Amino acid sequence: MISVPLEHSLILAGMLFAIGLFGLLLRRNLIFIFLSIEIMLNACAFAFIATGHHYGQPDGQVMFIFILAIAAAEVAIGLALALKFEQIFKTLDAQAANEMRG
Amino acid sequence: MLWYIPALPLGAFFILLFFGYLGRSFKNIVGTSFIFLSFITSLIISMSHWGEKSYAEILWTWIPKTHIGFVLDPLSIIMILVITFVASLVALYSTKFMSDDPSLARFFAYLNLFVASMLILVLADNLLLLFAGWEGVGLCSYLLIGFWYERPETNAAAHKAFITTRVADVFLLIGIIYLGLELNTLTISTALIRMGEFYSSGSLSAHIIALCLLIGALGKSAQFPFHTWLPDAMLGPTPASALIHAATMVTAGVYLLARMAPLFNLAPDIQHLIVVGAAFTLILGSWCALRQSDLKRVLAYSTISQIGYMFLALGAGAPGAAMFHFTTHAFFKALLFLGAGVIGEALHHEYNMFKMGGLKKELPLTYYTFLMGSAALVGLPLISSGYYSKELILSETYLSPAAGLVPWIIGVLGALLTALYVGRMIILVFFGKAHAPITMKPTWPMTFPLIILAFLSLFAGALQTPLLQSLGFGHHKIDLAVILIASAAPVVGLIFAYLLYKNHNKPKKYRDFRLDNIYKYIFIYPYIKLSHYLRKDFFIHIYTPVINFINFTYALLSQTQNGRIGHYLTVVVASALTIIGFLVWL
Repeated sequence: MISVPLEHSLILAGMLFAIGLFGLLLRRNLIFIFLSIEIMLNACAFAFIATGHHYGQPDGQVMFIFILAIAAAEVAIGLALALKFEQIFKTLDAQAANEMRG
Repeated sequence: MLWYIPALPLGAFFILLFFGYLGRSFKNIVGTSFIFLSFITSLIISMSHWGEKSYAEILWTWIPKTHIGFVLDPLSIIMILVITFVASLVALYSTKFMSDDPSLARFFAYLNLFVASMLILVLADNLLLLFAGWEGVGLCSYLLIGFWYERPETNAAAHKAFITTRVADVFLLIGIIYLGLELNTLTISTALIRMGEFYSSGSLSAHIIALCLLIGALGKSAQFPFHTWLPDAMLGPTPASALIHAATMVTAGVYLLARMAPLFNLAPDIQHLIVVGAAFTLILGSWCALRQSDLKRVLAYSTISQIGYMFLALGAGAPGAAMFHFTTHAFFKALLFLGAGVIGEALHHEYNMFKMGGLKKELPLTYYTFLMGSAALVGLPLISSGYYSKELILSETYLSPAAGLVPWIIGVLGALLTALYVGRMIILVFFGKAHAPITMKPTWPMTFPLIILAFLSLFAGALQTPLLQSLGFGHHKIDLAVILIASAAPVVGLIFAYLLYKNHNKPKKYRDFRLDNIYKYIFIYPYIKLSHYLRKDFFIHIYTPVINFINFTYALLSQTQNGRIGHYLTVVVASALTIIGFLVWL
C-alpha cells in the first residue's frame, strides 16, 4: 500500500480552506455562505484526520467527530436563520439586512 | 411615623419607575393606592395629634444645624389632609381619564413624585428641606405640563412655566440663605422665635428677607408679574391641571407666607405690597378670564384671581382666612377642572367653549356637579362653601389696618367679575344648542370624585369654625352692611352675566393683556442678542480646531462601518493572517 505523504494532505486541506474562505468573502447568497463555512470546517477536519493518521494517533478522529457535531449544530441554526431571513426580507442576499445609515 | 406620609407616594414613584412594563391594572392600583394610603395615614396621625401645638419628628442630621425632620402643626395638618385627599380623588379619576394613554406609568410616576414633594414641602421643619420640596413640585409641574412631549407647544409651555418659576425660586433661595446667615438657624420654629428678638418692626433685614420670600411665593402661585405661565400650563393632562395647577402646588406660595406670617408682621411695607399686588392680580385674573375662549384657560385665570384673594388675606394679616379659602378653593377648583376634563373627553378633546353648548341634557351629572363647583367659585350666599371663605377674606380685609376700604372695594368688584365670567362659562358650555355629538359618557371612576367634591364644595363651609380655632384665629364682629354688599356682588354679577351672554355672542378678540409680548421685548430678545454676541468670544478659537479634528476623525472612521459583511470578514481574515504571520516571523 502506497501511503500518501502528509504534505499532500495538508496542501489539499489548505486549498479547501482557501476555497471556503474566498467563497465566504465573495458570496452574497446566504446558502452559499453556509456552504463555504462547511467547506472550511471539512478542510479542518481533513487536516486532523491526515495528521492523526500520520502519527498513528486516534486524537484526530476524535476531533473529527467533534467537528461533525459542531457542523450539524451550525447547519441547524444557520438554516433556521436563513429561513427567517427569507421570510422577513424576501431574499437571501445577505446585503439586504444592511440597515446601517452611517 | 410622620415620615410615612411622604414616603408612601415616593415609594410608588420608584415602583412605577422600575416596573412600568407591568399591566395597566397594576399601574392603576399602584398609582392610586399609595396616595390613598398616604391620605389614611395623614388622617390617623392628624386625629391623634389634633389640638396639639406641634409634633416634630427628626429623622437624621443633614448638614450641621439642619435636620431632615418633619413637623406637624394645625397649618400642616390642613395642608396634608387637603393634598392627599384631592390627590387620591384625582388619581382615581386619572385611571379612567388616562386609560388610553400609552405612557400611563410615566403619568402616575410623576403624579406620585409630585404628591411626595408637596408633602415634604408642607411637612418640612426647616427652610432648606422646604426648598427641596419646593423645587420637587416645580420639577413635577414641568414634567406634567410637558407630558405630551410630541407636541412642540406643550414643550414651550413647560419651559415657560419652569423658567418663570425658577427665576422666582432663586429669590426664595437668596431669602432663605440671608435668613440663615442673619438668624444662624434654618429651622422654621426657631427662626420665627429669634426673628422677634433680632428685628424690630420695620427693620431693613426683615424687609429684604420678606421681599425675597414674597417673590418666591408670587412665582410659584402665579401672581402678577409671574402669572403668565399658568394659562399655558393648561396644555398638560387635565387631572394634572386639577391637582397641581389649581388645588395644591400653586397654593404653595400661600402656605409659605402663612408659615412665615410673623416675619411679615415685622415688615409692614411688604404687607402693603402684598395687598396692592393681590388686589391688582385678582382683578387682572378675573378680567382675563372674561376674555377667554378655552374652558381650561378660563379656569386657570380664575385660579390666579382666587389665589389673589388668598394673598389679599395674607396681606391683611389674616392667614387663617387664607388657609380657609385655600381649603374650599382646593375642593371646588379641582371639581371644576375634573368636570372640564369630562366635558373635553366627551367632545373629543375639544376645550373651546364656543364649540360646546347644550351639554346640560347630554351630561346631566357633570352639569349639576359643575354647577355646584361654580356656585362655590362665585361665592353664592349661604348655600356654597366659597361664600364663607371669600366673605371671611373680605371682612378681614375691611377690618385690617394694612388693607382697609379700597382693597375691600376691589375685592367686591373681583367677586362681581367672578360671577360674570362663571355665568358666561356656564351659559356657553351647558345651554344653547349643541354643536357636536358627545362621544363618551363618564364612568364611575370619573363621576365618583365629582360627586364627593361637589358635596364638599357646598358644605365645606362648615369647616370654618374648627379650622380657624385650630389655627388660633377668632371671629371679628363686622357691620351687617359690609357683609350684605359683599354677598350681593355675586348675585348681581350672575344677573349681569345672564343679560350679557344669553345669546352666546362672541367677542371679537381674546386677550391676555399681552404681557407675554412685553416680557419678550424686555427679557427674551436682549438675552438672545447677548448670547449671539458671546458666541464670538476668545475661547471659540480654542474650541473650533478641536471640534474640526474630532469631526475629521469621525468621518474617517465611519468609512469602515459600511455595513457590508464581506468587508468586515475581509478585515477579520487580513488581521488574523497578519497576527499569525507576525507570530511565525518571531
